[in-house]
Amino acid sequence: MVAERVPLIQVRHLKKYFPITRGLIIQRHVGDIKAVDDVSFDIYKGETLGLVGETGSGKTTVGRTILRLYEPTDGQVLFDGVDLFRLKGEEMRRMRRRMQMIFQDPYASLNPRMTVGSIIAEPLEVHGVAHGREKTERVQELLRLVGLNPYFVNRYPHEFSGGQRQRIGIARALALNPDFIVCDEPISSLDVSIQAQVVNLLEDLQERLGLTYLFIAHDLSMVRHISDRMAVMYLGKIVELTDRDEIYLNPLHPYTQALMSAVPVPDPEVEEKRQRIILEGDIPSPANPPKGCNFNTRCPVAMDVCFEEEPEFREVKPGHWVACHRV
Amino acid sequence: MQRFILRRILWNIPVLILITVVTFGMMQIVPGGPFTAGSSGRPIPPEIRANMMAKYGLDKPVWQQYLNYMGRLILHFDFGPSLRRPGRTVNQMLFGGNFLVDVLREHLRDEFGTAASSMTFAEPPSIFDSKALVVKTNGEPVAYIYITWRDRFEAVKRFLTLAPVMVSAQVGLVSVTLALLIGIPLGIISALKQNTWIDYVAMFISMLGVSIPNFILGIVLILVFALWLGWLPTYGWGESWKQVIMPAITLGTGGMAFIARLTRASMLEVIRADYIRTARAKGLAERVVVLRHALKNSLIPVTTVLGPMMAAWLTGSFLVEWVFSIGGIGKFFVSAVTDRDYTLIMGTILIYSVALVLFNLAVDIAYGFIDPRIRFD
Repeated sequence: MVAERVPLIQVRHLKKYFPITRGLIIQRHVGDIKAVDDVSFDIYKGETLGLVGETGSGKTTVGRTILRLYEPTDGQVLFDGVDLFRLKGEEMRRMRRRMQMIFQDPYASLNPRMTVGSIIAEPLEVHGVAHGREKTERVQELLRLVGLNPYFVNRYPHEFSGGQRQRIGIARALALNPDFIVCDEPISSLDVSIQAQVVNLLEDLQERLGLTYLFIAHDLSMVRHISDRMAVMYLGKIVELTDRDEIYLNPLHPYTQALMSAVPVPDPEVEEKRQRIILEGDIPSPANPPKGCNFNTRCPVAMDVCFEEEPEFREVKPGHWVACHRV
Repeated sequence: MQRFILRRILWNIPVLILITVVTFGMMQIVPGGPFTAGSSGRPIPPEIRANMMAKYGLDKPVWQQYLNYMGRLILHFDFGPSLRRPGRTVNQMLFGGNFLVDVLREHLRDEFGTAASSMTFAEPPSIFDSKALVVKTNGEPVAYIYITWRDRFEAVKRFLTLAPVMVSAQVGLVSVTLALLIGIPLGIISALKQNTWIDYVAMFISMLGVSIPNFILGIVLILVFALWLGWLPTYGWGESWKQVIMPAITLGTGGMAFIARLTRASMLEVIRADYIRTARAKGLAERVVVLRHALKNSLIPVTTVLGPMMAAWLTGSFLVEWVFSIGGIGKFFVSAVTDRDYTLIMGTILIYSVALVLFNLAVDIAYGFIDPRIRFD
């Protein structure tokens, strides 16, 4: 799948700060929550890049900022060579045809007052892709594609289960034939039995339609299953990025090592000997990240330099990027 | 749907009957009565008072009074005579009496000239009759007068424009419309521009609107626009569009402010909803996101308050009718109680209850259209 290695998305020094303001009448800008702080990576055509990290690490913000659902603070995102952040309103709106998002919460992300048919058909209308009969047929085709009965078009979201709703969300995202889909924890609010169905559906669709995914999740085994490469985020930064097997077999960053040690292995003998690395403390506040390496407050192998200098995110082996002084 | 409406209407009949029982009982418990003091304020001699009580049937046991009252009301739609305004009936005071009589009298005058003034009708004519028997004051029959569709239409038209209850409804309706037309956009704008000066100005205005009492606003408006500028008339209703402006603003401001705050709060909640982000991700224009996805969802709480609000406003406002000398029924809500005018109290309470029941039913039906999650069964 990763045969050609042509980047579809190039993220360069992406930053998204949420300002903290104080003051009653005049709002002073007193600081920033550095949700995403200087992140760079590529996503190749047809691949799935898994993005993992604990709550508050900024992975959802990365996904939303790439699609410009948030306005970026700084940096660049090239989509097929086009700088997204330079596009003006109407140009950006047209660009949205090619990039879509599947949201985490299938309950809250569908308008309760619209029928399934109109939810899926709306993007077709506003982008002038299909009208009338053609539109109806396309909606039915999409419902079939995600494994739902096409007769459901006139029903409302509340009449469906969580898994079915997530399929509606997927059908909606696929309506415009996008090249790139950000899957923002698409399975974490679903029952385990449904998760596998949805993941298999996503994989199947990728193969059939040649989609490129950014798959955001915190369930490591699921990400490993679907991803070609994986990136690990910690406190607004990517600490490690490499092929999915490499990251499991040979994690270099101490944070990645701790994460991977937490994945249970479905083999009793191996599981018996598995050594868990337990991290002490909590993730620091992104409003006030530690000096030097972000991870130094919890790192079991921190050195003096880690408290002074920020490690560079560099390619230590072909295709294996890591930000750590120890490596 | 039809079953739902029918069932709700049937359910409301016992509710209304209970309201009449409670109101009737409470009037008797409150100290004093319609004839405790005369119109001059001096006490009425006991013998005379006993006669008056007997005349209106107030000497009978309460349950008998109640049954008599309800019997006349249900069988003849007769609210009874006013106890404090001799010669006037509650039907006249609330509904302006029988407008068909006026229409037919005009025909009689055309036919008989001055002799028509000594004629009357054997029975009060109704728009459901085809003809009415005209008699002289001594009971001698004169002629049948046939009631045409034109007469019926004219009577209904006069009822809708002139009846006190309809005058109050008109004032209320104009005010509610004004409140919605300004309040909803104001709420949307301040939600979209949250924490900017636009939001602060809009919310300051609505805070003023909520806190300024009606009558002060009315009097200030009269002072400025009628006395100083001379643009608008100080009183009246139904003769010129200019008479509409100040009462509508006076009554509408409070509701406008309330609706603006409600819309803002609900809009703020909705525009943060995930499905609004979905709408943006679809590549919809911001205008479409706000109008099609956010607004409809944020109007549900506004619809909820609209039921009781319409019921309260369309049955008249004491202060606004008083300040602008409008002949509605709002003033009776206060004067009937202070006068202990039992029949008038019952009439006003019943009108208000029926309005409340009907508008709440309308709101419940409207829910079904606004929110597909609500089903009628």
